[in-house]
Amino acid sequence: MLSENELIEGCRKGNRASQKALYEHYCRKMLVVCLRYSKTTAEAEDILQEGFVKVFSALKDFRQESKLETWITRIMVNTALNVQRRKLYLYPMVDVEELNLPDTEVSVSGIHFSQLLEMIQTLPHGCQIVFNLFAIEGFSHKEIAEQLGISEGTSKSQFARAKSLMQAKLLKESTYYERYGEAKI
Amino acid sequence: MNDMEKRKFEDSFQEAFKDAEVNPSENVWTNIELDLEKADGDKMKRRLVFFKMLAAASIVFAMSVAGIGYYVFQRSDMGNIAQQTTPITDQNKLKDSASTSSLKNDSPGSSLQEADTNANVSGNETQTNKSLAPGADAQQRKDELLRQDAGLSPTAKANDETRNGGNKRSNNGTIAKGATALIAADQNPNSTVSQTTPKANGSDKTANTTTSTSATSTQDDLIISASAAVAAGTTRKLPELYQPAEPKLQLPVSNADPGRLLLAKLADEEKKFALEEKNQAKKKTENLWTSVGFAAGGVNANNPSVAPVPSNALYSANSANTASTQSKASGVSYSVGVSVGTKISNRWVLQGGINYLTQNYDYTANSVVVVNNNFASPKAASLNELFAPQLLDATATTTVAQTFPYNINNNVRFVNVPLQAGYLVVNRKFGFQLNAGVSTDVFLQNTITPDGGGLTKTTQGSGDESPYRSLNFSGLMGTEFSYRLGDRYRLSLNPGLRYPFSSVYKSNTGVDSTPLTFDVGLRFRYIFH
Repeated sequence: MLSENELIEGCRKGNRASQKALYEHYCRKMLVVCLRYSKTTAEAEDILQEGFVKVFSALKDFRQESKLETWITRIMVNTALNVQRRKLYLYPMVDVEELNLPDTEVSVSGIHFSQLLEMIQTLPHGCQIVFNLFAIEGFSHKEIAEQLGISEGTSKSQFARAKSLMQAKLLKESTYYERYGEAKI
Repeated sequence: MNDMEKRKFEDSFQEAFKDAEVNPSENVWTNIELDLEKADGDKMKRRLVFFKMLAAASIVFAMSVAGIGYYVFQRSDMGNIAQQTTPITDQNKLKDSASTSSLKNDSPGSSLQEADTNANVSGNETQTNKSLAPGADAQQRKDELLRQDAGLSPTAKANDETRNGGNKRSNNGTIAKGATALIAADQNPNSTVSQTTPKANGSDKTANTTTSTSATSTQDDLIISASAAVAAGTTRKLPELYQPAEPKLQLPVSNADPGRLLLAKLADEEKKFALEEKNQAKKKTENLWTSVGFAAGGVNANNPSVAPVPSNALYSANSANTASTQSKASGVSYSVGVSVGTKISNRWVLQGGINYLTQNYDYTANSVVVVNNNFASPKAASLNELFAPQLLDATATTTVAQTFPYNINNNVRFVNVPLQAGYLVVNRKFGFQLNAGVSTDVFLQNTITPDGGGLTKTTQGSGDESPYRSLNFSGLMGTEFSYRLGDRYRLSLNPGLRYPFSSVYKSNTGVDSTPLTFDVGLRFRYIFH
């Protein structure tokens, strides 16, 4: 098993075996990232493919100031955002009203990530991106606004709507379990 | 809901996706691989485009040069025609004129010429009884010739038939014409083939006429016979006996899976390609090399300080003058040597070797040195003579006597052992390297050669009696511009500086001199694989 540094060095030299090893190591985690930003698996796999090609061509510039996984994740998110930007151009994000939902916090603990993923994928387009960037990647609304070319207020309102929708979905899910007593996945 | 609670919701999502993994389908890697291959191919394509552009530019340049050359040649040729044309009024002189003119212009080394050349020009001129003054504009003459009617063609034709002894090959189509022209060019590259093109001036009486003339009738006969041979060769067939039977290729019948066969073939080719690539890479490496070189340059005295050992006032003054003149002299430097180099990292190299260095200084002296009052055989004024006797024998008396100025040549020889580190700034077919290091300089000898008679030439080796240090160290600094020739050789140009760390003279001479040498070397490197 090659070390991470050896893998990086091999990839920089264009060694196909090293590139494949690096891909094998990170492809599963990165597909989850891509799935969060897309509606279908096929779309996510396209982003994954484009992202890894960028990773291999940009690896020579990787200065190892951060973890390789973080760096690759960043490339995947940027690639996904580039793909989504084309859609955002067609359907620009606007301020949306927050849904009136109970003020109770719904827990996601115990829910399998695949269910959460499905919920995220069913969110409206703008909400999905802002939710991912704010809740999971940890960007501030200001940063999101800069990246997507929208106002900070739009980002906030999109997130609020996304959160409300997610809470509604989670509430529905938990009610279902409570009613029918099925085990959570 | 406070901020902590708000963030808790987001954190729970982060936690849920922390170790989440989903297997992608297998074709994702295949597509990535294809994209990577394509990217590599694009790089190659860009290189290919560059070379294509280079080739196209070369062709355009070559064609431009050829075009200009042809234009210049044509101009000079037309000028010659104008000079050679003389007014001829007698119709009977037609043949002679045509033939003579043709012969005159068939100078050795002339190449194929097109229509309206000498024979035609002279013939036409004769028939129209029109004279053009020598040096008249060639284009004007050409236009006038074109205005002549088809009546001119029979003249040329008659002329042609006369020259060719009735051979009709010339008037019959392009094959015979082309063959004759080619054979004429092959048989005798110095002969001239002139063609008359049809002159479309309305009457259309002229047909394609090819006139082949040569400097001698013998050459012409050769052309005719060769032409006939070619014509015969086109219809000639080999006898049945010599016609080989058509080979039949029996392909082996294979039941193997064609897909597997293809894969196996691809694997074989891949292996072969990898091996070839490895060999190529090995050939390109330059890890160890040896080189021979020669360098020439100048030596600058570099402001020496002179404080000679005093004995008496007059002696001191004169010896100071001699020491100053000698040590301040500048000269030329030559060196020859061999070296070995190795690569210690991707960019760094280490080089060492051995050189033979000779430096020539010329200076003017106005005194001679007399040892132990032996005025019968004075010595040339040099640091050797000023200090050696005293260093060897404390009781020796040395006198410095004034003379007329005369020239002295001081030839100093060393063996150097340089050791240098180099940094490869550019390491391709063309290389650029920065070098720095130290050199151990072993003094061999110096020879004092005074100009004129009376004074003898003296040579002094290293040792106690020599004013030069036997061992010294110098700093080296230089660059190396090199060009790789094939897999094993590299030619380089090495401008460099040499600066001694301490004086080349011994401290007890009182002279402190560190001459700076700048030389340019030429090295031929052999690379070991």
